[in-house]
Amino acid sequence: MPSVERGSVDGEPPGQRAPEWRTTRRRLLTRAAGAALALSSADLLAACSNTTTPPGGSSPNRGPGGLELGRPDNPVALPIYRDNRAIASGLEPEAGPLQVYNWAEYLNPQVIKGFEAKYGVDVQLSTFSTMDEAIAKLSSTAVQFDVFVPTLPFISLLVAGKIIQPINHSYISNLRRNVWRSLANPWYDVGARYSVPYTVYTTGIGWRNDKLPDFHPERLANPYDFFWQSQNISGRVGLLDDEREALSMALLRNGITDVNTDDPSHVQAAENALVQLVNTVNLKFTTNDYQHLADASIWLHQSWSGDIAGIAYYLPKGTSPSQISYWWPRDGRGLIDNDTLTVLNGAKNPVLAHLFLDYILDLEVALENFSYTVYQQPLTGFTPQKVLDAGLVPSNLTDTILREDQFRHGYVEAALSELGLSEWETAWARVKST
Amino acid sequence: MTYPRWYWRAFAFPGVIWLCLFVVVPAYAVLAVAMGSIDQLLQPVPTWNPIDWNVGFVLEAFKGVVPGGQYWGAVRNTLLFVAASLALCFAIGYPVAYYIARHARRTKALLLVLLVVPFWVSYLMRMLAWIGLLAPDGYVNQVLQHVGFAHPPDWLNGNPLSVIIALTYGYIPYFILPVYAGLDRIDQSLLEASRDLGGSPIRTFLRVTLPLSWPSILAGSALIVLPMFGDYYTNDLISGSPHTNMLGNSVNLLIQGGPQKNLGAAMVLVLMTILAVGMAYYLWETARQSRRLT
Repeated sequence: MPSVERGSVDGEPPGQRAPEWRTTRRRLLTRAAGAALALSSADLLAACSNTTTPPGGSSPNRGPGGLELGRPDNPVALPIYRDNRAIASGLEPEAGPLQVYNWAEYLNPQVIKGFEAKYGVDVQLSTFSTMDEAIAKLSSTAVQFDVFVPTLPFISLLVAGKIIQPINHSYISNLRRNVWRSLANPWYDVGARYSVPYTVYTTGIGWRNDKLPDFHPERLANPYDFFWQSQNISGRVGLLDDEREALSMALLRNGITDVNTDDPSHVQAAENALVQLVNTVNLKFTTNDYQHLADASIWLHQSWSGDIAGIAYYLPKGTSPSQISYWWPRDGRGLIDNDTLTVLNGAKNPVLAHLFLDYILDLEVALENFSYTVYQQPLTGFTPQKVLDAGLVPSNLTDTILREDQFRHGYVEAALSELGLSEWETAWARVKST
Repeated sequence: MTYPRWYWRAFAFPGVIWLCLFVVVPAYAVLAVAMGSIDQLLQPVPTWNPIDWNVGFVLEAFKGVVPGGQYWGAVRNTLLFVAASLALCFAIGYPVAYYIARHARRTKALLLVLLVVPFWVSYLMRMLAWIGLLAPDGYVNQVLQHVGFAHPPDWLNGNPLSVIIALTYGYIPYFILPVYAGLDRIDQSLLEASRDLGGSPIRTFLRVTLPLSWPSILAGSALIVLPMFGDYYTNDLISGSPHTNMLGNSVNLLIQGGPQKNLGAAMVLVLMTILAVGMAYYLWETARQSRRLT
């Protein structure tokens, strides 16, 4: 596969890997014939033994799409390809309907109506449940959408596969005007060539303070270790059913702050820690932390800030939001994710798609969107006080809102290297098979 | 009137087409993915030509499911949960089917309708209802506390019994209906002959009714065992703990994301192999039964 210089304009699309990494049955048969009867069955098995290695599999600085991995200390400008250019400036918006491909319950219907009214077009929303499901559909070209909402680790993969198109900033004035400076020009996509930020959220600890009145994570040297000290509440402890989040928390608990590591010893230690946790506290993996904390079936759960911010909607009658607490390090040295908005390559309404991105980055629209999704957008005016004043989050849960100065120090879960991807998935499969 | 040889065979043609389209082709697609590779977008690339098959994932999958392998725990749980659920289905379902077939008389139609009623509600909703019932402060624990259990069990946090109960509840109608059909078809005169020859009610049941209903028990068992082996969402909803992980959960985990989708497809092949053994026994046993009866 041709290498692509950072920021070059002539990188070729990464095709499928050359098949040298796998041993085919044809090769096995050839070997078998060549060695005739001398080849034992053990040799046959040995010939197959490395056939499950991921493609490429060894470059620490490149992701599965073959592009260089961006990191906070190593910003990367994603390549612009000759056959995948941004649209020209000054074009009139298309007649629509605009096709938006998004996570379920991740866009306020009122926001959609507002956009429809402003531009006189229809917006059709389709949803997906996992990034893999979405990419499988998008790469098959069986579906035709305009706007897509990928998570950060998949941006380089989508660029390498030419699934998303470069953005023309002349249509998105709100990017420079409203978005945090660190995300208007992010390290994972220098110059915001392909993406604009949609939401930011932290991954911290949610708990029932009526059940755990003595838990004060801010007073503990290693709050994450509290999970491992919770044998007395066995069966009431949960982690997010998410490979990256669960293993990353185990890394932080072990003192490793590189949450994108592909160091086998670190990943292995995180795996061992989670296996220990599963066995000692009867751990439950779920992404319905907001429901379990609300009905008190779980008292201590790794949680996404957005889930906790909206937990009031799930509390039974008579349960006050003040019974729920959320902790994430106030100095910002905790887990952070951000989702993005992109325009798909081959979009039928690319101008309209750009205008939609711009619309979403408006502060008033973001607040209206938050009132439904409860996930924050990284806009300068989007402060904890603003959200509190608008009555969108209970006063004891304003720590679920992130500030830009915190974001700069956070540990962002970015794309893993090919090696890391394999190590993490193997570790996760072992944890889930404990 | 005589018909040409192809005439009756032609009746099987739509079924054969159906099987080819929706069973053989998908099964071959799973095989091609298991023997394939993965592309830059982490999407599986099937290898359709057997000459180019990559056997590594399948070998890894089979190595993983033997004792000591990475997925042995899931295999062990699956076998235990399915066996326990099957036993419960038999213990609960057979008497129900027996009563409806032999003693219900005028209420037979009503009882059959009641048996089918659960099908009106989606499986997911029925499982969600169990979550409400088995919650720490749910009705089940309230009843247990009322009758003297100071510390009722924690049903929803990795309790294997909850998974077995949920599987049994979810699949038991599929067991009862074929067993009922089998019991209903038993010739009454055979039972009367047994009694006339001095057989006690229990002996008549054990020597006549049970053997004659054995094929329908096998059919009902096959109907529920096949989906139970691949079930993952019952366990996800009711437990969520790795301690109760089933083979279906492992497949789901592998195919949901990342670079191991081929291994997920290979695990499906493992599952199909296990089920093929069960189906082979079912076919052999039913053939044996039909030979005995003719």
